[in-house]
Amino acid sequence: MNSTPEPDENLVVALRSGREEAFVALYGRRRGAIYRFSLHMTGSATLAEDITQEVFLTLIRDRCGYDPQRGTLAGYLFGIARKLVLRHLSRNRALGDAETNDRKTLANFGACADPMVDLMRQEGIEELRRAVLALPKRYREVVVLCDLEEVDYLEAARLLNCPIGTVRSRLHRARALLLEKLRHRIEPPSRLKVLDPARSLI
Amino acid sequence: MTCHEFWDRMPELERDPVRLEHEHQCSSCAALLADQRALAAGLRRLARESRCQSPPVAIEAKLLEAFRRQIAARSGSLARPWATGWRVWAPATALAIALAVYLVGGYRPSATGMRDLTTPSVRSESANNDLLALDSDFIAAPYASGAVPAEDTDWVRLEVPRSALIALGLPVAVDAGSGRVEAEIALSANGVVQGVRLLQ
Ligand SMILES: [Zn+2]
Repeated sequence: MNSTPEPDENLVVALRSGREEAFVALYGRRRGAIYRFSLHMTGSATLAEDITQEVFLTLIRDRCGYDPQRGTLAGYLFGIARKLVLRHLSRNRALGDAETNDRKTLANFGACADPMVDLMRQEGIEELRRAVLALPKRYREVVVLCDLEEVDYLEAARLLNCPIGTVRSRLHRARALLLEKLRHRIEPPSRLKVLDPARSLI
Repeated sequence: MTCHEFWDRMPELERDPVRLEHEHQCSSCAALLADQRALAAGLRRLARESRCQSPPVAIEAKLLEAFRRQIAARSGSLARPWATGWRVWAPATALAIALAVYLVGGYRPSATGMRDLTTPSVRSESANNDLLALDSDFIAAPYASGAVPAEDTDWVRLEVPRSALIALGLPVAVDAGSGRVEAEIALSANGVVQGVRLLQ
């Protein structure tokens, strides 16, 4: 029995030839990251669902435009999600943030069934989530991609269409902004200790 | 080592003895570094806690349905739009009429050409009042697979009779029904009308 997962590129070929199981496999593999990216960027579960749906609808269209020579499928899907997110954010700038009005959002964050996660849950993580959501979008997207979804810098640079140095510097600035926001929100002396006292590697 | 040199040196090198020495000697750098470590750990925890988040099952069902429709359409076994009820064929016919208008010469090339699909539509300042209530963005045909067009959709700019828009069920004032509205029609690779985007 071969336990090696089928590469995304092969699954896309199978999908294009009409094999439903290829779509199911790709969707199962990539839906979480796309959904979470959209959720962290917009703060709205409803929007994240719509964006996820639209991203995968694009993938199943006959001429979806994905070319394995130009990058990974994950990068391609993040790229579409990012365009949809930015379109939404620019439309809603004048209307105020959608996340504040989306009751579904807070309920969804924190819906994990894993008891270990529940044991570790602290107010600080919710503060951090809000701080990420409050970042300017160019900083928010690098934090969400690189820190939360573990996209490597090269891939992030490709999908943000900027040099890798820009990704690094935005990430550096984003973390500084997060620290600033958290310092303002969390009363001393506990400060950042509510996040995690572990002194692990950055 | 100065504070500047401390932060200039690769922060990934946690066990660099020179950095460690400065960290022990300089309380401000040590405090900032501790904050950064706490933040990094917090981000990792947030990532871990978010990992169980995924879209509802209903989305997968909708996507599978769209996938099957597409495969069926490709193999020619999908029921034609005009055979699936008036809700589908009426707008499809309206769009076909619009296309026919284009084919018989109603098409006026735009000086600006096709718009970049990644940018939001721009409404004309002089838009007719009866169209102000409309979102001038993409309106998908009911049988189309998505609410927004694919990136490589072919666009045809033309003037659509108001009557065609009314047939589409769009809120256009009936008493202004004799005019035309500039629009872009989205065509899929196989020439099927995917929807319309109003430009006025
Ligand atoms: Zn120092």
